[in-house]
Amino acid sequence: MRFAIEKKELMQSVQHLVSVAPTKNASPILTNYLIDANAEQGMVKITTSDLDITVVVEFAAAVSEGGTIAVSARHFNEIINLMPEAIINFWRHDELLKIESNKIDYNLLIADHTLFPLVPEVKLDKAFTLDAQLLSRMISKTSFAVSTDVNRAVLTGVCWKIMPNEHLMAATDGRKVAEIRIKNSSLLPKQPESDANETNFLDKTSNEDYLEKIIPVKTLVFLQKIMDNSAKEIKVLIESSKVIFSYDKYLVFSQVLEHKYPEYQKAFVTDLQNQFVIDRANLHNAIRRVALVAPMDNLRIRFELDSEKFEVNTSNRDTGDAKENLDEYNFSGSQTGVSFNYRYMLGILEAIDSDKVVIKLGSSKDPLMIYNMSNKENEEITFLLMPLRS
Amino acid sequence: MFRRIKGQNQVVDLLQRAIEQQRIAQAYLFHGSDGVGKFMTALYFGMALNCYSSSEYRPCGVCSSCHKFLQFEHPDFIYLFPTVNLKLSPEGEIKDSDALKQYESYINNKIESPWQDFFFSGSTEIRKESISLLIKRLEYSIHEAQHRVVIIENADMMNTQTANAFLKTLEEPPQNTVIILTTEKLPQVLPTILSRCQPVYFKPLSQSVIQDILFDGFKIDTVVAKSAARISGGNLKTAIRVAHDTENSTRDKAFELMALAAKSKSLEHLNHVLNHKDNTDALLDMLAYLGVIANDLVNIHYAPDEVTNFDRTDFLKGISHASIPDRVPDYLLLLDDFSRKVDGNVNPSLIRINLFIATKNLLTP
Repeated sequence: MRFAIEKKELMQSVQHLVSVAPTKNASPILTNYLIDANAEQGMVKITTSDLDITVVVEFAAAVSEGGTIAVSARHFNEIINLMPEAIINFWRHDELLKIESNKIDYNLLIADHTLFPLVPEVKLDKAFTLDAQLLSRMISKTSFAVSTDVNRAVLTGVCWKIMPNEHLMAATDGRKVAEIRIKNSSLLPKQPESDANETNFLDKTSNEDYLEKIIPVKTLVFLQKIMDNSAKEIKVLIESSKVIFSYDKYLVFSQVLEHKYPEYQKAFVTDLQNQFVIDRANLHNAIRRVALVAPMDNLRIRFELDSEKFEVNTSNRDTGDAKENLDEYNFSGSQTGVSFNYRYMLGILEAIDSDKVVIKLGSSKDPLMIYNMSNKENEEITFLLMPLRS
Repeated sequence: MFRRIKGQNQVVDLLQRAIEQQRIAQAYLFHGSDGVGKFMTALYFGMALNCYSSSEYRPCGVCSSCHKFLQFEHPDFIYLFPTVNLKLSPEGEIKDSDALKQYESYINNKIESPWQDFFFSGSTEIRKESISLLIKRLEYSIHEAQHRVVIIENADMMNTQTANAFLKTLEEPPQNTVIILTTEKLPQVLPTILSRCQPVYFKPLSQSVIQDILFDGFKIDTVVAKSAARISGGNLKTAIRVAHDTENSTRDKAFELMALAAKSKSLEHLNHVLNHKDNTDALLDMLAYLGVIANDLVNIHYAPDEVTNFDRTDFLKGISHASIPDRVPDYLLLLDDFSRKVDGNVNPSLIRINLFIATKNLLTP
């Protein structure tokens, strides 16, 4: 194996990969990159994997001799990072990878590349295409709501449901729900042959007319990182046990969580009597101010409101209490009060796009439903926050 | 490669039939004493389930899947064993660098020399975090294998809470997942675990099997191999350890004790006991050797061909006498009792003194 490439170009390609490669894993081979140089096409492929997510980046380089090696990911990235701006040469000599640029020489020990997990062949002709910005938006509206509890692994993923004319992404940790629906049939492939494929993969999920995959949040966060406007579209291929994304020079394989996603919609309450509309930034600031003294154990703060008065308050046995009265809000309904975890509320408010936020609430036992003042066309975003018992 | 598992033909047949008929249980419990091939069988079974070779002699041991299994690097092979606290992060990274080193040497030892036991510094168990991580990994889809393989070694080393957390997964693992538990102490496995597995018993290896393995695999000469096989009690690990014992010092010590006892040189023995503080392992080995020698003392009268230590025939003839055959059964029972006491942390010096007196009584005509 022998190839040469400009430092800047290589750095651009590999800078995101190192976050994937685990460092202290039970499986030492995964701390390596799999580097595959193809002399005929003049392309170099670098693969990294932590089993949940496998990323392949392919870029052009001056390859004079093909070959495959595995080499420590951390060292590779650090070396490239500190190299001066110049052309870097790589070649394999016995069991060493030689990296040379100007007067700098490295000999890196290489690992047994046959141990590296298989990277399956992909045929992207069955894939469908999504607008990258839209996907990024769907991810940012939901990924904050996933659970971190390893005991319920299914909730550590984001549920992606594809229905004939709708995309739905949802995440929940049992205390809050974030859901975004994109109602746009034009998102689905229009060409007849891909239509056939579409129904084809729908068939696989037996007699249901939708496809549901639970994708680990790690994958989605990584996708957001690499989607930097260098390409407009992202290709998505859904297989039974994995989901493959192709964006620009990246190919991302993600395992899916094989589990039924809980029916979070059951928690949605549609007939809440009370509703108020308020400036998002004002509410956000008020909550942050009051929350300074909120109890550390349950992070509880409380809304007390009727048509005359809107009070955000908290009380803490150890430190004291705080309250703030808000004005400039529109309230309809009867007097009510509800307690909740302020951190979840802030997370939801940060995901709200419009200047004003609509919050529907019932009694102190009913969940809070939070909406944008106005949604974008063909888009519906719903947030739910469960109350704390008072 | 299944044929490389010696002396467990019944088990190998059972597993091979399961593969042929595609009737693979969701969970197996391999039980039997230490050093009889439980882990090796589990590993080869996992390899056989995933081997790419088309021949009927699977696993082939050379295809890419088998290669990854043998290096413990297969992405769909999960191996749990009792460890010290690794300070696992939820993503499965081992935070404690010292523990990581030990973890790696454990795996290396398992690959390079599985017949040696690796000891962690610190108390070990199968920890809650490891099981949580396993459950999480099982929720993800399979990577490249046909069957995901989970091996949990010494499954008795789980506390009740951990075991209970694991029950649901054990009963209904995801599709195409085989969980293999191994244990030496069947009675210590929770009944709730036990009832969810198909138990597979591994019997102690027969002496001839151990002798063959020592001779073929480790180039150990017949005399040593024979006595090592005799005293190992069907445990290959013990047999190999005994056989590698440098110049058989334990065997020589056992003979030395016999010689002293025969000449009633109690004082000399007492000095010996006071000056040499042997570890309990060596004492257990010596007890086992004494048993073999006592056996020989009888055999030398009735079946001279069966004598294990035939290089010491003259010595054995010298100390044997007419009433020995009657006394040996009691002596052997006493030796058994001593080994139990060693396990029960009785003072080793005390045992050695009692042992000497018992041996003296045996040998006094």
